[in-house]
Amino acid sequence: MPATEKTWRSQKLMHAIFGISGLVLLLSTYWMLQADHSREWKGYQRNARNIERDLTRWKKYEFQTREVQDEVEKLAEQLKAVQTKDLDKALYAKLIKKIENPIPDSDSSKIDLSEIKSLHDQLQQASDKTEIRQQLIAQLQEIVGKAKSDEKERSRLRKFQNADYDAAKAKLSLGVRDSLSDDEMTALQAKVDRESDEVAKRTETYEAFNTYRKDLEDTLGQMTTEEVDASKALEGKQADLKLLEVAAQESTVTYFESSFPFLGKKWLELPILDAFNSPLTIDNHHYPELLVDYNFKGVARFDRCTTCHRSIDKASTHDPRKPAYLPARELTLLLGTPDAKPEAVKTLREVYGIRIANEGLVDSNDLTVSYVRPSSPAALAIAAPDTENTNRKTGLQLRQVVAQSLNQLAEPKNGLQVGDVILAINGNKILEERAFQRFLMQTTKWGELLKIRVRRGLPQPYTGHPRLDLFTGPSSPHALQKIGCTSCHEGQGSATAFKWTSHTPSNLDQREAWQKEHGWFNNHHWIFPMYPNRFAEASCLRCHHEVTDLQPSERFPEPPAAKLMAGHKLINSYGCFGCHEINGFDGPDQRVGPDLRLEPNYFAVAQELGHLAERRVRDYQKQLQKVSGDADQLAEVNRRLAILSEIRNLAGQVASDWEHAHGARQQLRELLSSKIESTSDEPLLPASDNLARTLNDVDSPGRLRKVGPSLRYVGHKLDKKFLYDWIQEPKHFRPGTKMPQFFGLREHLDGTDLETSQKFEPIEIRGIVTYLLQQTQDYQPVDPPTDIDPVDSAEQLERGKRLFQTRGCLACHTHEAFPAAKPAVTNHFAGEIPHGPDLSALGSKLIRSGKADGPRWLQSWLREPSNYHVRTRMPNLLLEPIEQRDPTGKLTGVVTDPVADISAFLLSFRSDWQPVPAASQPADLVNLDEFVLQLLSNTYHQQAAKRYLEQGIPESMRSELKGAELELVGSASTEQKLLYVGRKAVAKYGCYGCHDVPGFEDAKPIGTGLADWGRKDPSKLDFAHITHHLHHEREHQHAGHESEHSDLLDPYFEQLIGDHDRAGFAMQKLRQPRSYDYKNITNKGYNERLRMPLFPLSDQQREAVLTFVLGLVAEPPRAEYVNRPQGREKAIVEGRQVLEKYNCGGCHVLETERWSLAFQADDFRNPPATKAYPFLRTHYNVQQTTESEQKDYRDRMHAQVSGFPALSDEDGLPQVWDEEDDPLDDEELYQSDNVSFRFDLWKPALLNGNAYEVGVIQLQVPAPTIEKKFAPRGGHLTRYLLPRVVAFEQEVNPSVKGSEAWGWLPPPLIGEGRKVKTDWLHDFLLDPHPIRPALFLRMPRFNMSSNEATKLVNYFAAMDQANYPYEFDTRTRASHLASEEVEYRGRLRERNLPEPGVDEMARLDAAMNIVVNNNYCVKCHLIGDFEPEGTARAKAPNLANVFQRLRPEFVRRWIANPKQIHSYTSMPVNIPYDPDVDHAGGVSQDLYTGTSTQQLDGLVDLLMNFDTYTENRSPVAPLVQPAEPTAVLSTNSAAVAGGSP
Amino acid sequence: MHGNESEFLQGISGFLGGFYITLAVINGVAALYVWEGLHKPKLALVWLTLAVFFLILSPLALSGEAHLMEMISVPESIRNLINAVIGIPWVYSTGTLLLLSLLYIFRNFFVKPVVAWTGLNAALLLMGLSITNPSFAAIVTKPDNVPIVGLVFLLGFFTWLSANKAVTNDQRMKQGLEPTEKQDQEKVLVWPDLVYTELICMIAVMALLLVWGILLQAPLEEPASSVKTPNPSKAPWYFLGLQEMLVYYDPWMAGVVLPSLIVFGLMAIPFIDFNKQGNGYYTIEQRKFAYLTFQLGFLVMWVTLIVLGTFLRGPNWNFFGPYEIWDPHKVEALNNIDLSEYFWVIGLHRALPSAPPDAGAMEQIGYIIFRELPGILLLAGYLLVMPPLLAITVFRKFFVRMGFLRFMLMANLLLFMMLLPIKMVLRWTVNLKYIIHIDEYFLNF
Repeated sequence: MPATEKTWRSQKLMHAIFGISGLVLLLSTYWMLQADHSREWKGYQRNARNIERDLTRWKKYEFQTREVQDEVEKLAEQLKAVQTKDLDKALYAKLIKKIENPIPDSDSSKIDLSEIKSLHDQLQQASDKTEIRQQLIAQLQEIVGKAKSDEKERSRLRKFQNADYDAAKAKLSLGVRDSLSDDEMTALQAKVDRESDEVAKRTETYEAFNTYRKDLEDTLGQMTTEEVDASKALEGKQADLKLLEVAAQESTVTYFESSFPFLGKKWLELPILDAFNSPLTIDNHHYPELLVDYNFKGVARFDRCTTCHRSIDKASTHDPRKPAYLPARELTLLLGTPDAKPEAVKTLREVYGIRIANEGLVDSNDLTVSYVRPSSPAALAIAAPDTENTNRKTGLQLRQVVAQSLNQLAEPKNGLQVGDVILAINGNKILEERAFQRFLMQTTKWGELLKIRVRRGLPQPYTGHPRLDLFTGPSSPHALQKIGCTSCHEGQGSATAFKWTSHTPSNLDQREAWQKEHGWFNNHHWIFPMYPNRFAEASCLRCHHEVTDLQPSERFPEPPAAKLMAGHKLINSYGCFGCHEINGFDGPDQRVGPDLRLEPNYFAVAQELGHLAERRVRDYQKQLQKVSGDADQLAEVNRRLAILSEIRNLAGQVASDWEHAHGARQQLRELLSSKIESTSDEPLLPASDNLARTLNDVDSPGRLRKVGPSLRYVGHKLDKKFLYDWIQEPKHFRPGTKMPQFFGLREHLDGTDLETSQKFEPIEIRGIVTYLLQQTQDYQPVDPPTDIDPVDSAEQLERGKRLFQTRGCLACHTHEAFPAAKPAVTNHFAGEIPHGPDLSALGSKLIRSGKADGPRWLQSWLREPSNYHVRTRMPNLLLEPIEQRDPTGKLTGVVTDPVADISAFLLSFRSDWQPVPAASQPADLVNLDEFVLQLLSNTYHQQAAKRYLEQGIPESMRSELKGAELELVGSASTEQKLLYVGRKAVAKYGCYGCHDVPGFEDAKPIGTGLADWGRKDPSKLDFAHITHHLHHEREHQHAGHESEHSDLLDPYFEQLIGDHDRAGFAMQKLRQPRSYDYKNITNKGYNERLRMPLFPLSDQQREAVLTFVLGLVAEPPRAEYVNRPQGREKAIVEGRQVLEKYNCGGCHVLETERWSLAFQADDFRNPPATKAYPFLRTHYNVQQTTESEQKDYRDRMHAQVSGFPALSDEDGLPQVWDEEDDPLDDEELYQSDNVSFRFDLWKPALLNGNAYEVGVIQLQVPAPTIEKKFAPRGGHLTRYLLPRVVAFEQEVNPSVKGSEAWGWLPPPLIGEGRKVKTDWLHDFLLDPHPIRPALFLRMPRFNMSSNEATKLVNYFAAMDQANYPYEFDTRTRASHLASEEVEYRGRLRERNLPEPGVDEMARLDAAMNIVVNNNYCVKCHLIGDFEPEGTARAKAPNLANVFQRLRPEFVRRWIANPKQIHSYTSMPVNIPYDPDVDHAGGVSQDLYTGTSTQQLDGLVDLLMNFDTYTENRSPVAPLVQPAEPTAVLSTNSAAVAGGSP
Repeated sequence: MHGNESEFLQGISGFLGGFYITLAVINGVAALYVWEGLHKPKLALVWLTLAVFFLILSPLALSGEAHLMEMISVPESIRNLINAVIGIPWVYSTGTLLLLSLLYIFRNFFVKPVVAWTGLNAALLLMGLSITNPSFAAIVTKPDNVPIVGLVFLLGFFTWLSANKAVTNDQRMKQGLEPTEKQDQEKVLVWPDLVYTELICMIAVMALLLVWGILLQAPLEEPASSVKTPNPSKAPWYFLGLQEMLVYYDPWMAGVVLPSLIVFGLMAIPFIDFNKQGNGYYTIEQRKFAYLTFQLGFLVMWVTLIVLGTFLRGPNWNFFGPYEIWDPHKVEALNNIDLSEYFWVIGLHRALPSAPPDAGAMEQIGYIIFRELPGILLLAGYLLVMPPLLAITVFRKFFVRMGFLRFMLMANLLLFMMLLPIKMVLRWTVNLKYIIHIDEYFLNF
């Protein structure tokens, strides 16, 4: 068919389709561009840019104030004044002379000076000299410029010549290479010499020119100095403003600019053009060393978070450690108004010092403060008190609050600030500036306070990091450039859109808001979602493996990670690690995280071995009697007995102190593993193989002790009923116990599941009780001392109470009789965590019928805790018998036993607690068989199990049995079945995780390891039917009582469970550990049920624990990022662990209280001028002084003072004074804002440029000046006892002063490192001895190792920057003493005083004169065998031991001025220093010849060389008998035999 | 999915409302076309009614309220029924086979545009009604799966189109007319009839890809991990047929032998095909064998397996009904038995023959072969006996026309193809694990 022009389809239609499809493509292309171009982050960046721009503009206001402008004008005038002056004539003449006599061959000679001269003449006569002066200087400068160019030319010539010289030298060298002839060489050398001469010549010329030019310049410079200085000052004043202008210029982005280059930067934000240096860019931070784990590879981290969070590292202009903006919050301020209506014309700025911006920062309608004048009413506005705080308190209450020394960390919210958004005035909403102005300028009641409600801060993402001192800030330890964001926060750092970054909401409101505003969803594909805010601290653990390095420190006084620390503390004290090992090591030296593991169980193994050996020995001894006839058998038995007694002996050593009995442990292990040749195959010790293995060395062993008491001898302490009741529900007897509840957790059970629980749980408890009592081993209580006088019981109780209160028990324990002694809650996340158990109602617990002798146990325990439990943390309180004294301090001859007293006191408390009825009833054995059968069926076939149940397991199988089944060997009596059940239950519930249980020495922890739980794959968690359980629970509660609603799981965590989040899982696990069994166990065995117990934690505590556990990810970054403290820091971190372990802070103050003050110049009295030894004065440099005088915009200076509130002399409570400067009356009511406190400085402070030394003056601190308070560390008991011991002491001695009470209580350990010698402290910690007679209590002996003692010693030294581990003491050197002696004798001779004999130590003798003088040392101090008269409180430590104990420098400072070290001490200044009197003060010259400083040094030398001194006094030689002649002979012969000459 | 139900419904409502409005518009256009183009007012009224019906559904869908959405959902009882029925393993495969047979047998009815349009509407409505079910929606709207849903509809359309043309041709040829394709022997212009069309297609595809790229983001999942693999671990959609084979055969068979045979077989088709009819036009009647073999091989044994693998295979590769929650805790009892065990243990009540422990290699192999003899014989029988048997029975004519070699090739390919459904049926019915089970040499069949 021929082709036609007709097309197949209608062209019209095709065109239409083409048109439409083209349009669709265009639209979709546009859509694509649009979707690609308008990205979320750009909006945030634009806003951030606008905020920045506005802030820069507002900042300029600070330079537009009258004050600043006046200053600028003044400087300008100064400049002008300088410029109109005549030139210095002498200098001018000098200059002209120089110009007229230039260097000969210079061009300067041609200079025509006539013009200059005429100008100078004109200047002399002119009235307006400015211009002529300017011209003249310009001309002179031209001449200098000419000289400069001359000089440059000469320099150039010299350079060229130098090049020629170098070339000639090179030619010469080449000649050597080419072995040229001598002639040629000589010629070359000649050339070099010529060039060299030329160089020298030209250099000379150049130097001449240089000197000339410098001369001219100098002279001209001198002539114009004033002018230059003045203009510099003016420029300096305006430099900041100029910088701001430039910054504002740069942050302004428009399409067109008013000046060149006309086109603005905004063009570059358009699509395609934005490829060329767009002002909006994604911030890329690359961290090649901080890797993200992509399973197959660690990939460098790439954080773009700052693309939106632009200001995250921006600091406030007031304080570089504070962020520029915090998240928005509302607060109310009180603004003072003028006393009378101001004149009509005045503006807000003039009256209040405040300016309102045209537009808000984020929302343009916000009424935003753009300027606040320093010290104006606006700047001085104060935070409106919360309604609760206005409650008035009585004087006593107020003083008690101060005595508690609580943290007060809230940021003070004073003063209106730039950026505050005004919301309301006196409750009226303010929407526009006019209304604001009206309120402030017209309708106000003049002179009264206005209540202004403001919103401070900005919404996310425009805020700074709240802890800029710790994070992101350039000087913080985690600078943004170094650490980035996601390495701590997690989340998807590469993403630039809200929902893809895996932000994680921290509560349900936030979740909902995010879903609405940002389309947030739970992106479970990103396996590192951001930590929700409430768990943010978890990630600290990734690098801070020691955990204690996260405690507040000098540099970071605000707790860096309070919640995490709370979690750590809770885990430590509740002993989670007993079942859930937290292994911080992956291999012996690869550290992956915090290490919380139990220490090796050596001591328990050794005890068990000792016990087994003991039993065996008894067997053999019996056998010995039987086999006495057979010699071979006798020998064998004897041999075995010998080995056994060796085992027993070694085991005893290891058991009592394994940390220091390393050798014994090795021997014991070897002894057990060595084959014992024997004729019979009877093993020496049954089941000793496993035990022997447990004695093996462990690489990097755990360090934690089991938290519960030992149950090895529990039968001697408690009876069956108590144990039953306790195991069933510990808090039934002791509501505050830390022991978790294992039984009766049934809220998730119903139907048959519930019945099974009710049926079998009592059997398990009965079994455990039977097992514990049956396995109880022999234990020898410590005997009471003899010679104790019989006592009256009422008196004994009274004494016991006093002793219990004052001997330190309350440092760790609580008791109902002393409710006030409960430690204050320092970390509100952790809440109250008692160190030791509550000791109330001990009578009910320990006085029981039956075999157990509780009272006897208690006495033995108090005498020596480690006798009962080797690894207890309870120290030995060294309660020795006390010889009673009457009120005057005389011995009455009555000796009492404090242990008996305390124990009587404790046992006198009984409660109405009764064991549960089931505990008293005989065991319900109906279900026992069923239960035992079920247990047996797990191991054996049904038939065999039934047989064993009836007949027991045949003896022949004994060798294959392990564990509980051994209990059923032979027969199956009820007792045996119970033992079997008990042993099974102990193993099942892991009782040995916290307690030392006999028979479980080598058992492994039963729980999941938590070392990497924070990364545990949620798909590996069995959520089972938990959502149904929670739903059911909620329904149930709705149906029931309204009041129980608080018990429900926080809906936030319920949501997390719904999302299958591990945090949700763990929270519910802690809340209801067994609830995952809900509807999940009907078809499982009873023993397959969950077994985690319920810990008595509050919701907040659970969250803290969870924070810690979530941080355990076992994914440490590269080594350089892990915080591995070194040197002093390490010593401090490690020391703190030991301090916490033994609760040293229970008694001792470890760090002082610190108050941050913001005060005005006249708030504090200036310190009086005192005459102090020069070496005692603290020196400050100029910078420190100026800093201390720096005033903020509220006209206040800042300082931090360390110390304690001063105590009242009457009652030992802190002193608080009212407005009229009278001490508070205990009964009256006071407003807490109007009082002032007296503060004892314990460290020197610098306030307002004045140096305040310790012990000189008490600071009077008005309450409003306190910005923050940082609680002291430790000293809980001391602070509790302060007022109480004063009261006790006043009973006998009404004149004692309360302020001295510090000296009767455990000494504060501030400055301990500088004070004591390290070796002494180490030994003292391990074996303390009494030092201070004045103390109410003694340092107990802790159950600590030498290693731990060393850590403590290092800690104290490191805290005080003292030398450790050793310090060399020059004062004890013989040469030092000798030279001083010579000098002293010289002094004596100089003054014609009699000189003692050569053998005498004249100087030390003289020093001794001071010591033994009745006015000085011996008035209070013991020395050697001397003891002063008076009550114990007035006595001071023995001076004979000072050389062992104290560091010489400390002794010197101490004697020089004791109050300057401990302001509370009652020791006076004995050797006063006064440069204005003879000998600069000091004691009488009759005692010691010399100045006060020399006397002081003499005294120190005596004390530090007391041993040498006394040795000198009691020579040993006379005591030695003259040797017998035979001895001489034998020595000789020995020498001969040794071959020596 | 506690508490998320309403969130889910809110999320889906916009899409669903749009979906129903689109259906209404499409039916409206169809009505207009039928009225204007075909002049069938009654039929137009039907489609118009349908359009109105969809229009009524759309506000219900847009409301996002649970009680309103309930009305436009597949009732729970029916959902459970479907889940239960699909849950029976053989139902799906045999069902699709049956359905295709029905479509084939009654093709004259099904190719009618009215029927097809009704069917399409029914399918889309069913999808609309189902999508309110979170489990169904989760699978169907997963960005990976959306194109597969589209493909299903495209495939249906093209299968229908070819059948429609073939049936028309067959009817015409019955009447002695030539096929429609022969009528249009007129040549067309390269421009504009070819190139212009192609250009428009290019533009349209471009636009489609852009919109698709904007609306459905690339489905990125979490970083791969060797310790945590996705469950279910699925092959790319086009390989899901192969993956399904892995359920029934060992990897070497399902992953190597069978795919190679597929490629080989496809290449061999021109040499096997002796039927000269049907060149250049659609027909079924004249190429019944080819048509059926292709439809069986492609639709039943490839496409439906892809659909099965995509939509019905869930965690642990378990079978899930379309409305069933993909719960990884679901457990299916799968106790499969080897043929040798059937034979020796169950049939003869004796232990499996096994070589004595000290036997040499050859002896061991001997024992293994002896143990697996039933399977080996059966398979050998199938591959060796069946071709001659076929040649003298059903394929008598074929054998004559093809000659020995070509026939044997064709028969063997066919037999191999049939191995899959046979094995599937054996697995479902008698829990047969392997016909030949030689674990010692990883040779299972």
